[in-house]
Amino acid sequence: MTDAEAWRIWAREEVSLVNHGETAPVKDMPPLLRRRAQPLGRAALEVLYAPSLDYANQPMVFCSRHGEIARSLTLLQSLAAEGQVSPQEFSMSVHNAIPGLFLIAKKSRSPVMALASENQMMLSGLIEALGQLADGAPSVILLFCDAPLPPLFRPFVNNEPTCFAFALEVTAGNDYRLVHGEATGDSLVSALPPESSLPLLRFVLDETRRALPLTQAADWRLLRQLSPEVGHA
Amino acid sequence: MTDLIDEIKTLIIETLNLEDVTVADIDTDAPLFVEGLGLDSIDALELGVALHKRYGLTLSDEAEETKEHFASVRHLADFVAAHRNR
Repeated sequence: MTDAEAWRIWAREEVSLVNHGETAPVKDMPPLLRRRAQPLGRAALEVLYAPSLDYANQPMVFCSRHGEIARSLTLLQSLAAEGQVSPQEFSMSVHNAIPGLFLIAKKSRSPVMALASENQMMLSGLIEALGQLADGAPSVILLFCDAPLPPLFRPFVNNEPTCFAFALEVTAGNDYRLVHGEATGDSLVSALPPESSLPLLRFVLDETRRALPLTQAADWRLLRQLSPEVGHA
Repeated sequence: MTDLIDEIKTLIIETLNLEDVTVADIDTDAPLFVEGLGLDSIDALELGVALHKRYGLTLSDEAEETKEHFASVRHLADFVAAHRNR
């Protein structure tokens, strides 16, 4: 999908994202750095290099439920089978390695927070981004990415349906409000989908929606603030 | 020797995921690290593991000596030819 309207339809109609198994080219990254990223990392880097993001050394919050977990599995398997691991893979097996590659390429010393959360990825990312704003950052890059798990792990945790990455630039303002309150008994309460963070992108794109539950109990919610004109219409 | 040189170039490309680099692109006498091919210290470790697996080589802890072996593909090929046991 390349045009805005296609994305809005995707958001409204809750269609699944289809990944055709292509690896993001990340053309603008030096090849010597790019080669270190796996498909998930490359998807994240492609987003960070998007012209519309206009990276200007903002602080970044990198959010991924499992990161490049396939790499860690390969390391463990080769350790068990051969007693040694690949130094290159090992060096990339930390959660902040992907944003790290980007910062090296951009020669940036800006702060990066790398978060992992099983069921509260959107909430954790938003709270951290708001913390950075409260600390004086004019804007924060909030990046989410995840990919389907290696089959070995699937029986144990929610599996992500597709490989994806998206970034939001968060600035202080009144368009949205993060609220915490009683768990509500209304229609807001629904089991969170297996997608860790794509619901946030759908919510931002679908302007007809008022609230996004961020936890299973919906005690944390993201609210879209309606402007007075719209509210009276 | 030419065969071994090309074999080592292929090993470098495959081990270090050098996308878009071909055997013909690697200058046999150019430095591998920092300049030339532009590899870094993690690549040196990775290459050490690969040389051990493929040729049964063990690199000495003597930094200067190891540095010499890794100076270029030609140096590496000389080292492999002299010390390989597989």
